[in-house]
Amino acid sequence: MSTATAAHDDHHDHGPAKGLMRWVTTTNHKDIGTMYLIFALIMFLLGGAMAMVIRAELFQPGLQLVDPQFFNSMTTVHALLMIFGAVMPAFTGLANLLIPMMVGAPDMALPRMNNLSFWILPFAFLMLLSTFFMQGGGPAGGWTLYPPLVLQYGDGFPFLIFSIHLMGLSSIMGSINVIVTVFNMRAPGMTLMKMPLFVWTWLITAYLLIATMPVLAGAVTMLLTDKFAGTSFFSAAGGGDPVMFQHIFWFFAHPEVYILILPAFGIVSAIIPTFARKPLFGYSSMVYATASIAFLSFIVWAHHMFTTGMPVAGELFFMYATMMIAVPTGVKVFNWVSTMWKGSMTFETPMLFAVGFVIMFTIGGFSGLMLAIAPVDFQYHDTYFVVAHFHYVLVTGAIYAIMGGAYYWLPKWTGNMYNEKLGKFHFWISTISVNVLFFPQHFLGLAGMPRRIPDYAVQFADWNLISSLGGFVFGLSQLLFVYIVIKTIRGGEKATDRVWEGAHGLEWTLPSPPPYHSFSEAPEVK
Amino acid sequence: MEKNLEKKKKTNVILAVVLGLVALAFYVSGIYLSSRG
Repeated sequence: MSTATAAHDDHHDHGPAKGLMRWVTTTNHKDIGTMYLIFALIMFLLGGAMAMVIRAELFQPGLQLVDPQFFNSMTTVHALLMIFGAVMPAFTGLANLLIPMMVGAPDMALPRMNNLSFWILPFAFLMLLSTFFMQGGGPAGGWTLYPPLVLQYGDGFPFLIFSIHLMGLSSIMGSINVIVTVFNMRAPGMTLMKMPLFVWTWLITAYLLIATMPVLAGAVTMLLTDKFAGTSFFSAAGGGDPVMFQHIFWFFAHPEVYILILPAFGIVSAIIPTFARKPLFGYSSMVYATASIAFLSFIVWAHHMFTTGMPVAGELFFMYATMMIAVPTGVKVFNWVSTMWKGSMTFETPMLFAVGFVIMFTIGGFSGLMLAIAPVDFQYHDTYFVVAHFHYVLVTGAIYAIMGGAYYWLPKWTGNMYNEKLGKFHFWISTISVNVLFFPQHFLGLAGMPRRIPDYAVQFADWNLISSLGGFVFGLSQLLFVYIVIKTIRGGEKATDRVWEGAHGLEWTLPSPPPYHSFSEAPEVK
Repeated sequence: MEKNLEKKKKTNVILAVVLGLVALAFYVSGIYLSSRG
């Protein structure tokens, strides 16, 4: 090696900068990934606090604690925070931390853009939350932003729109980074079909984001011009059509649902083989199933709109297309179960969360199939049955996968083992309480309780009380997760490089914690 | 290795620009199609 090259290498071997500026100016994938995860956790707790307000108000019939307008703000902003602030940034954080390590790259492909993608987010959410202090309060028309209701919203309206623009911009840049990293930064020998499934699911998710986020941006831009520039995209009086907004919105938001779950599939597909001590059953079918789900996600959007009135042929098309999604999803569930079949299973905390995911996500999937049946959706639409359904797929689905992933990779990131006893306690208390929280909501919905109301008929009182109690326990038990994470970061039993004896993949070949620059020499993959 | 990384950097930027343009196309076509009702 020449002296000049050696000097150059020295330059590259620097550690992180000191102090606060490290985090502001960093282009390191692990720093940025860590910031994403911390941000997601803060948003999760804030969105969770809003959920507590909702459940406290619904604890008994009648208006107790907050006025109805504020209650509606709580449901709206809870959803926006949890979707755009908690789950999506958590996945992006995991992608940042893991993808370069998994494909054997030194860093993400576009590190400066990576920094920008993250730092946009706090400003976007500050902008959104600042609306609570404005005339008209926070947005209260539901996270779906349907006109004409959303156009009646107060001074916060442009702040809401621009914050969504910023969130979209951040997601698009994050996705570009993932795609470019996966296509151009893989280590020699790491062919596409050798990539860990987490990388595959994220690659497909990134395509979904690039295709749909701009559509959301277009929809909210049109809301903005309808409000301030005299256009009538969605105003019937001016020749527009409010239902068209729903079509555009759900063309974004249905793939968004899969954006929120595909990386979770990747995480679970990493955890289960490790603790079953068997290779993943049906790797290539997992890849094709993920791609099929992504494709189908673009042709099912109007199942959210069965009650708006559409031709029977349309209802049938969207009904059958939606039901078809059960096929690749079934392939996945079958593969996870087959991976566990006759495996030497142990149930450490990540595995508990993964198995919990498989069971409870499937419950959410089945209620999704019920909702897909157009004629019966007329009864379920806008009831608590829908609320129960999407919380099963998002809380016991997406959030459980994220928690499982956090426990799984935390020893790798920090170099310290978490407290297994506390982790298991966190899982069991969460799993019991989350079912007490959401399962009764199926009954409430079937009995006719509408969503997004601060008060309800007395016939719904008993199940609401039980649901709220479950909610308070679930909310509190997440503080235990925060405690476990902080305790692990601060110290504990030293983790080995491989951490889990059954773990395979490039990230486990690195020391725990990994060096600041993961792979300075590309590893050879056989 | 160094030379290889330099080459990769160029490809990274080209790929990023192409993907950015795809995103922009979705944005513009979304609004255009909506304006036609």
